[in-house]
Amino acid sequence: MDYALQTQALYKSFDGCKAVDGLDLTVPAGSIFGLIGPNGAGKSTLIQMLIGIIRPDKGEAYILGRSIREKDGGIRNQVGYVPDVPVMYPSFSVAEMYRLGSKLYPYWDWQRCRDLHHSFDLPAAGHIRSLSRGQKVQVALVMALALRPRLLLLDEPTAGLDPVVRRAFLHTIVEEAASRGTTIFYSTHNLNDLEQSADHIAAIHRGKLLFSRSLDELKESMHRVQVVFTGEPPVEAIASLPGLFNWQSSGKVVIITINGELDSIYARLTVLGAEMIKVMDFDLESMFVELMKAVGYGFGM
Amino acid sequence: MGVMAMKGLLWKEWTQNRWYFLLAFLALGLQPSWGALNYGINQQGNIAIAWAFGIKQILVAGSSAMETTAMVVAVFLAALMLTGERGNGLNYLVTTPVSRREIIISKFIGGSLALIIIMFLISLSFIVAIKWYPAGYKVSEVINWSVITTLALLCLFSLGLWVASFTQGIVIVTLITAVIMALPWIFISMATQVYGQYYLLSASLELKLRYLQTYFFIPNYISREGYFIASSHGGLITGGANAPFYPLEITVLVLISGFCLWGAIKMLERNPLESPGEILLWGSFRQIGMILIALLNAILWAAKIASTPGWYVVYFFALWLGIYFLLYAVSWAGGWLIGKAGLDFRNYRG
Repeated sequence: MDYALQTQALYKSFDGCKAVDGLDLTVPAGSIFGLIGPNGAGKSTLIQMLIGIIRPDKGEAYILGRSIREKDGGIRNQVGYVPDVPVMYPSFSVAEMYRLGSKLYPYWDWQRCRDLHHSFDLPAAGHIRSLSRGQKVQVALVMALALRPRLLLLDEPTAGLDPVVRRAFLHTIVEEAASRGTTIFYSTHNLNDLEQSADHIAAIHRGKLLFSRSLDELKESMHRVQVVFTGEPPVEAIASLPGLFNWQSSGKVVIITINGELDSIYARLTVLGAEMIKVMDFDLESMFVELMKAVGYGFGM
Repeated sequence: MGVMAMKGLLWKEWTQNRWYFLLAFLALGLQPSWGALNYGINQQGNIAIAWAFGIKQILVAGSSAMETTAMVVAVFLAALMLTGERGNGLNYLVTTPVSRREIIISKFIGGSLALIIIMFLISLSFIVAIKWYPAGYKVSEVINWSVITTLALLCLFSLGLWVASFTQGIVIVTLITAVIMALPWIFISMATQVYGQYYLLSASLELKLRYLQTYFFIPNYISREGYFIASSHGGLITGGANAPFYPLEITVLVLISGFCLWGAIKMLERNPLESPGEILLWGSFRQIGMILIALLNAILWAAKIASTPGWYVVYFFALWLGIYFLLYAVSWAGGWLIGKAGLDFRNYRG
């Protein structure tokens, strides 16, 4: 498989606090890859290392086949980056920012820049400092797409955007991936957005990778089932079920969050005396909460 | 190095800093033009060349307001162009297809070109003026002054750029640059004083040390004060004035500029940008500050209490360590108190 992005035992700490802790991650080329994790999990640190803002302490990472430790800026010729709060030159006008982009990126596409600029209805003459946060994100996205990227790194770009702008933003990046085969690496807390757009998902916690798989695989492997037992639920047997994330009981009814194939889960629960088994709706956000609870990040939920 | 990237970066420097360059030009040109204008308005005395007294003072005597302003402007410009971008533009720039080396070099070229053009225009106005009016200075004096002063300003600019590559804040950069600029002068002064306390300091050795002081203290190239070397032996000017030797001066200034530029490139290449104010090459900036303060104090205090050179060495190392640990303890206690008061947000990450 062709990878757009790869990390090998990547490590970064700040004042002794591990932000990214031996992370191994691969992102298939052409995918829309969502990165999830709680606050302080290391998502922004990882993306900032990939784009060159901060240096890793140990380990290696490759973007589009080139090491991020290369000093040559050419590694970022076709890599776009949109952070949650875009940093640009406050005294520049939007048009001057585009002009700067056209002078720094060798594959700059003016036509695409104009089209996107008009589609977002941005002011060309306004100074960057006078734009709202949402408009700055849009300018950053216009620039990131006008450079004809092969890889887009997005660090919680839709946080704080209004629903209309957020939808337009998502639509644009999905279209980019579909029409040009651009790889999108996307960190977010908004799992509904990811559910609509991503095809791969990875979760990190305390700088470590919890899992990385396709969204379909994740949805097929994680289940929430409601089980009704004939008598008292066999709590010890339930607690030792393979792949169990979480469970809670109320009388004869037990709700189980579990990882595995549905057929084998049915078979095991039937052996334990289940009278009725019902698969419940389980959206990505609920999956994420269960996963985080399983690693001790639940705030008593 | 990419030509395209460099053109883009230079365009950015111009677009971003053109008003600062214009301000720098106005600040540097103010004193000479005001002096001449003032003569024109007030017609001071009946001397035909009186209008050029101010310029003559700049060219020969040094220590004029224009030159002091020029030194501050050179360091300020470096600080503005690099540390002024931290947290916004610089964080954007490192995500684009340019290397950190290219970023620093473009800033060096941009700032240097601005200083060269400003100095050229001021020097040209001096030369053009004597074609119209009688003046007490010559074209050759203007050229000599212009070349050396421009190179000294480039030195200060590159030193400021170097300091700005590892710290943050325009005032902080200016202060640290002033300290680093004065360090060779301070060390040589201290060494001379300590040596003279235990051994006989011959006039020729003292003269050599003062030459060293002159050549390693950049403002001397501008103010010209270092050219008049008075010996402590009777307070006389030893062997007359230290006449400028331009090939050596130009070589030293170019080498210092090159060294500072190299330092700035290396620092920015290794600086992760996430902890402004930290020297990440050799540990924390605070540590280096404490080591340096302890060192300077140890040099002086050891000389005050030691009676022989042997004891001087012993006291020097003991005081160095002692003062360092004292500063460390004070710093630790300060940090603890700040942390206790809940004011320390340095490690906060959203």
